[in-house]
Amino acid sequence: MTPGELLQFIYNSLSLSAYYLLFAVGLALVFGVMKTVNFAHGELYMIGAYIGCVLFSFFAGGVPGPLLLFIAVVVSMLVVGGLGIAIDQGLFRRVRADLLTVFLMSLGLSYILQGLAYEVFGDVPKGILPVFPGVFPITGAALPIERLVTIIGAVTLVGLLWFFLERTNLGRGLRASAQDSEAGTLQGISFNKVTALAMAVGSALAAAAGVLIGCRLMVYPWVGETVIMKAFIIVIVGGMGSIGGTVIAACLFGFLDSAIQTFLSTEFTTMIDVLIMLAVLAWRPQGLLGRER
Amino acid sequence: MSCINLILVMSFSLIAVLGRISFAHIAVMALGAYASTLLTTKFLSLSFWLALPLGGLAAALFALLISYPVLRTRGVSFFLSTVAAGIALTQVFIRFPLIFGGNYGIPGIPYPDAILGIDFASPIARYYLMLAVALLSVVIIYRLRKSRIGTTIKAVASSDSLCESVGINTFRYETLIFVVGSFFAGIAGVLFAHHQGVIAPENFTMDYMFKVIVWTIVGGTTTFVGPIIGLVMLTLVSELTRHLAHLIPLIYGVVIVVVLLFLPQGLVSIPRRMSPLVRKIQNMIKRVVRWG
Repeated sequence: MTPGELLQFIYNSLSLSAYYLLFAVGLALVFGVMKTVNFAHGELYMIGAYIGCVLFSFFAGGVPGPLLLFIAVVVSMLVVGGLGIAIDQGLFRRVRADLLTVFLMSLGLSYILQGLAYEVFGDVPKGILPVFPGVFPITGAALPIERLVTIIGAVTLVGLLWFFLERTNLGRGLRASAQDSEAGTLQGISFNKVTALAMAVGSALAAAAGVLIGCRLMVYPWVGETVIMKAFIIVIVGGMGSIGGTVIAACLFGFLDSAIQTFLSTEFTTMIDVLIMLAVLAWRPQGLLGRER
Repeated sequence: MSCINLILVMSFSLIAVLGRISFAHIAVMALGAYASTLLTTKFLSLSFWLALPLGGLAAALFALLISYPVLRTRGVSFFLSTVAAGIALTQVFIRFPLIFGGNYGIPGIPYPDAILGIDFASPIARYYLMLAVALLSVVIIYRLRKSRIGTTIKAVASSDSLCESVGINTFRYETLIFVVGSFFAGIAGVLFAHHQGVIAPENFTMDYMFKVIVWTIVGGTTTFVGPIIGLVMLTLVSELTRHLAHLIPLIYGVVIVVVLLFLPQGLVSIPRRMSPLVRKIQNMIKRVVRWG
């Protein structure tokens, strides 16, 4: 393998890992606090992407590309974050007692959101105009600049998340509730507020992923379904509720899928990923870095 | 089709009693369908009557195979691992076109061979056949639930640690139910294949799986008839909204969210929840009558 090909491979793998990380980490955060998976996470990603599409279709002429992208990310994060809070307080909060019910409800919700998106946007795939066309030609490899934007965006957002969780009181409260919600309430941390916060942040991250990826891939009402399977696999392998585990798993699958696409065939990625997940579940059900339940 | 759905929903609720929502149910149905199809067309030219139980067995075998990794997880994780297993299985059907016909599936599945002079080329005869198999399956499942195994399962569902403390091997019972439930799903798949004449991966989608879940949850997982009621009600709703067919997943979604919010035990719990209200009305009427 020539140095150029190797560089290309590493670059693509990093960008894929960044993409996976961004929408998996939101899911992991929500799971860590609510102890159940939000199936509608994929649809939140989709809504974020559509917001990006809408903004671009209105303002693409007047506002410069990179700025518009930045605005789109911020706006979609705010809107979808708010939506996440609404979902949490309006629906999940009422059935918090039974985890399975919350999960089934999120499953129903995902179908509702898909149906609504179909009604509003139709099933013609839309895309966000490529904001950063062009490549870095380095040692014979063509590295699309767009992917660097994805990597930077993902790293920035996850870095902010890390800072938030480790260094702010609000973030520490969230981690405390994730560890033991009862003990958290004894310390005066309102569990309802924490779940709302977790949903807000998780949804916002999903939306950001949607906007950033909308530049590269097409958006249609069912795009959430493909995305969420990947996110589940990553979160399960990394360990539910462990952000660090998600990072590791995202990189693992980023490189693995990239390798499969390069050396085998794209067709096998899902199958191999799923088999790995089943193997991890058989050997270590709590995931790589998950806690004992 | 309703007969097939009936088998699906009853077998699904068997597993759901354990609190385990198996997303692989449709996938094992597909396995049963493909197995019997291959047995009657490409590989051997077996009679339908042999392929029927073999299809169910194929599904059951798969369930047995994945039961070790998958049943070790609880609740949501179980769901996800069955989703994974289901997807893996579907991927196998798509990615090996030489055997499974890829995305186009396998056509030309023969109707059941004539037996006792009944020719199954006519849809009506096939309908009666499916009805008979469905009723037989329902009876078997009913007897199973009433039997010692059934009550043990109910005990495991409510408190598995308590069961284990009295020496019940919960894993074995859960595996048994999972395998048996999948067996019937496989049977449903075989019936589907030999009625439709052609099967393809698109017949066994996640949407279909979602519908099975909604039928069961809406009807009520705790009782035996619950899922049947859910199936009947929602089939009625689907028929009435036929002209809005593309909205049906949305309607199902709304239904399940509403039911989970207000009627977590499903439609069957309506009489139970109404009875205090009914009694209040009865008392009020009595008081009015006495006063007059």
